[in-house]
Amino acid sequence: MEGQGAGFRKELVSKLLCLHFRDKKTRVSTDAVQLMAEMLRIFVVGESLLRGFMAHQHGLTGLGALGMGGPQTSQVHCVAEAAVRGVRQAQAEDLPCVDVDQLEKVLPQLLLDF
Amino acid sequence: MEDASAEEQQRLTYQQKLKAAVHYTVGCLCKEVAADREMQFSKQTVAAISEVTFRQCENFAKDLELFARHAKRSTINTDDVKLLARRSNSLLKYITEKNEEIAQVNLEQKAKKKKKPESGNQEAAESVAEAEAVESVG
Repeated sequence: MEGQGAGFRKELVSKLLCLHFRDKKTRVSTDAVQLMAEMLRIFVVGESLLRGFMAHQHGLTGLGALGMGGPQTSQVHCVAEAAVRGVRQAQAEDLPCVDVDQLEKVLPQLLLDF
Repeated sequence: MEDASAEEQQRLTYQQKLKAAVHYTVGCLCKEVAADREMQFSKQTVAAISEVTFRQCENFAKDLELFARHAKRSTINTDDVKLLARRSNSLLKYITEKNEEIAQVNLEQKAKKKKKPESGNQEAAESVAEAEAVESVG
């Protein structure tokens, strides 16, 4: 299950979290570390990249992408299905590359949802 | 005075190392998606995503710490992580399912370890118990 392709290593996740704890006594259970690794994986793969596709595909500029939050959000949130659907649409639009401009558009909603 | 800045330097270097590790992992994940969907990601995009991820970890970490403290615990557990995923219904659902998968896998692994003494003799049982004790300490 965890061997599915790339992902965040447990040690890295653990260190990333511990870096920001205010109390030195705070620790993280091993199960929680594994779960956080999944969480981060979704953050990168499920949401950032998917929204990048969808924003470009809709040809939205600037504030238009913010408006994507509403009805689109419920689509986007089913991680597995939406990824496939979004990418198919993007491919239909003949996208060459997802660039920073697209990411800029999707970032606000991404951070709000997380 | 100089010690403080040296300490700060060390902290920044440590942070840089972690950022680099995150960047590497994000790069791998992007490559996978790109290969899978026959799509490209510019270098700047990968860098931006990894920067955002790194910063988001700070928010996650602080929230998790507060959740655990609220429950009068000093160890963050999976309930805290689930609370973190509350903002989106399907995210929460996905995380809850993953949690059960992880728990299942860990349970199976523990069961396998415990089966060893049954097939071996007492010496084997003792060495397994010792190994487990070392694991929990380290």
